[in-house]
Amino acid sequence: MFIHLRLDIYKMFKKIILIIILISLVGFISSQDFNDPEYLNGLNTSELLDLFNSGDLNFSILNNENFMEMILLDENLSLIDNQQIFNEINSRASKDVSILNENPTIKKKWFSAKYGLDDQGAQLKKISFVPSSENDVIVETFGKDATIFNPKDNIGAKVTQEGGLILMDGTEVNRGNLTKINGTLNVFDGALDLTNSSGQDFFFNNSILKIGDKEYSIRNGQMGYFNLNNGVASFKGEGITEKDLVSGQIVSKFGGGVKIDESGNKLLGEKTSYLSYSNGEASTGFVVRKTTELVLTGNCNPSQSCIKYSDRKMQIYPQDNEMDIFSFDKSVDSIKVNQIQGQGKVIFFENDESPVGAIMTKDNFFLGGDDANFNTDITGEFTVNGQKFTQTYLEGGRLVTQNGNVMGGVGGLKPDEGLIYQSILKSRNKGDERVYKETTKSNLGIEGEDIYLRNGFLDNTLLLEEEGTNLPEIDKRDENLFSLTEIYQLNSDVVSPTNEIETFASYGKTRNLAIEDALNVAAEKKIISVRSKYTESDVHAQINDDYFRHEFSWNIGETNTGVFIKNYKAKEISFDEWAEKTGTTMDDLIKKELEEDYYFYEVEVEYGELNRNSP
Amino acid sequence: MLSFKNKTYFNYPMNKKGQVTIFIIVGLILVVGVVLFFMFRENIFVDPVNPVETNAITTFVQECINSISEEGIYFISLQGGYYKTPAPKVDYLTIEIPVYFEVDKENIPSKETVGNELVKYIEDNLPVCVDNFKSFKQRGIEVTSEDISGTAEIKEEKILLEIDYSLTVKQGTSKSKIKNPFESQLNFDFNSKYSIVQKIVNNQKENPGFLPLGFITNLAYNEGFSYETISVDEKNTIISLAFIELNKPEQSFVYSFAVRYL
Repeated sequence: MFIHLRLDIYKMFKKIILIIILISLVGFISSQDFNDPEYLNGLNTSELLDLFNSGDLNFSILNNENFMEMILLDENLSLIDNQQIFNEINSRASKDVSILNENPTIKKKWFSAKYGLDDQGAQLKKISFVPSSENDVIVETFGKDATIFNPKDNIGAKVTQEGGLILMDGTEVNRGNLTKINGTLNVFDGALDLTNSSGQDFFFNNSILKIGDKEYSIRNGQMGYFNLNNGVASFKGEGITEKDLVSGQIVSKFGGGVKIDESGNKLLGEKTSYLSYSNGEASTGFVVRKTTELVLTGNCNPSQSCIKYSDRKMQIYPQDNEMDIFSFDKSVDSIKVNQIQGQGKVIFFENDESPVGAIMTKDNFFLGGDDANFNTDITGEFTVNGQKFTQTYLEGGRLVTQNGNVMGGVGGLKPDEGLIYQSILKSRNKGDERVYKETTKSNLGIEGEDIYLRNGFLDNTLLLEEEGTNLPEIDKRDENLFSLTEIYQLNSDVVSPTNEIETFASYGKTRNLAIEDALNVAAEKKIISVRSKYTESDVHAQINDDYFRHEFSWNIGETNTGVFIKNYKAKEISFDEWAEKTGTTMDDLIKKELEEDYYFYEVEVEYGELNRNSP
Repeated sequence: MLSFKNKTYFNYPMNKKGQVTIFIIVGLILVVGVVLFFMFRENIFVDPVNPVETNAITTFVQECINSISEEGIYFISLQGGYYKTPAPKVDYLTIEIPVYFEVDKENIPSKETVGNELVKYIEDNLPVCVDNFKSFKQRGIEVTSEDISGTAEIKEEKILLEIDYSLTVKQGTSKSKIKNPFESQLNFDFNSKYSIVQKIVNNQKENPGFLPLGFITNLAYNEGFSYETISVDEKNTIISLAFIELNKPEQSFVYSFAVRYL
């Protein structure tokens, strides 16, 4: 009995020992295999998945192929949802991004699993960890739209086959390095298409933004801010260029703050400069101190600071704003400046090469620069000591009116754009010797329209007592005659026809002078007939031996009765026709001389009126 | 015989020095008397020219002064108040126009200066007008003249002239002096034009680099003149104001001056 008992104990002990040995052996063998890359990589994916599910798999020692195959074993790729696996993918991809490129389904799942991005087949160039982050990665794509972005910052975006992004709002990122700083997107070296965007805002640098057929870019080193809201695009920053993608030409360059609505109208923010281009050349510029609406279609709200610019005409409601306006290519024909308030100021510059400018304040108009090159018609409303009035500066001041009355003008002998004809006659009579010279800027055509005449006359007589002591009294003077006629052409829209036509017969030593003579008579006759104030200044002086007679002519009448000729037509006629029309009779000798030396013309003139409300 | 010595009302003794002084005075009186006698003996013993002729000459000269002074004020106004324009000035055609404003420097002639310039004009041009009194010479009257001088005072709405023009008239053996100086009043309101110009120059200071056309235009509208500005070159602009005088509507009075910009 005792022996049996001892034998049973002994057998039991042996079994226990054996079990212990077996268990130890199994444990030894198992633990050794799970850490053996050779062993693990020798297992099939199913065995690996079992090990992973049992929690015994050390997948870090798996090679990429097996690791990815293990993931692929589940057709739902549910392993990627596992944070450990996901982190492992990030880790492996940061070292060899091809594991994702070669496993598109994993890549697609990887993009969507944690970031909600829709991969449409992008090839990845690089994946790197965000500095100071263990899990966040930055993705760099391959392709023509290669983009660098943090998937976490672009949740919901599509990653296109070309490597770009289509963000949730519809913005297409076709290139660029996207980061998010303090919750706001930053685009560097980017190309974004916002045509289909429902709304977006970001900072951008060295980037191109496309909206419809327009492209906006900012030069390197400059940071801009863009906002798109309800179809209104807003820009802040310096050195922003707007380009038309259809023509391929620059539309504008601006700095400061500009809002552009769908109609193309702009809202220029404080301290903003906006320069529009035409055919690739700088055309019209605006620099505003306060917020100003730039209306290209529609009308201004007169109670706000606003500039309406269309059909080469500009209407300005300055309020108390300070604004500089530049017309580099003379594309502005006329400007109307409504009453300026307070310390407001409108400065208008014309011509880039030889600048000329006008400054308008609430009570004054200043002109500066090379006024001979100033051609814009400017109308301004002013108030001085409670007196309100309107001044018009036609062709940059060539003719100045106040409340419709011509008060003066910027003139002189300098030729300018409006001047179509100028003749200077010099005649010198020294004893029996007579010298005559005609200097003509351009020939006077036999037809003309919308013209305005100016005249000047100078008689400079030198006494010849010393050298001409034997001369008769009348020849003791050497007479220098100087006469000037200038014919300007006004804009056709400022002169209306009166349907009043008259014909004048004239003669002159040249064809120019004959036509000019008729036009002078026509102009003078009209002035007299309408009782306009046509004045002359005729000054005589004796300075030492020089005798001067200086004559100036002005027309200072009502503008609608001024010296304006709407049209004229000149026809050369014979001496006899001229004599008949003028009722002239003379003996044959003089007639012969005249016929030989002079030209005879008949000039039909249609008178015009200056429109009071022009421009 | 009563001698000075004995005159009782010289109630103090005369010393030798006092006697010498008296002799000098008496001597001088005698000498001056003799000189004056020889100087004016012709006038004393020569018949005066017929007053009708001297009056005609006076009227002729007076009219010349009136006419030349009017011409003069028109001319010197064309040259900004100067007959002979000092620097800084701008040459334009044959006239010289003074620069009234240059950067921040104002250079408007005073009314006294303008008056003096008018006198200079008269000094030079009056002889041209009287033309050696040829019309009188034909009638046997010879007029000799001395240098012209005078003063011109610019007052409200008029200019007062006092022209010193010594004339001697000889007709045959007759000889007369014409009453001198000639006084003339030019009913011309230079003062108001001058004041307008001052206002323009003051306004120019507001914006020294630019021509104050708005101010000039409004002034022209309110004061009834017209204007023209001429850019002579990049820096110099001439401003000419043209006024119509009621008594001379056919000829504008032109006041010109220049401004010089940087």
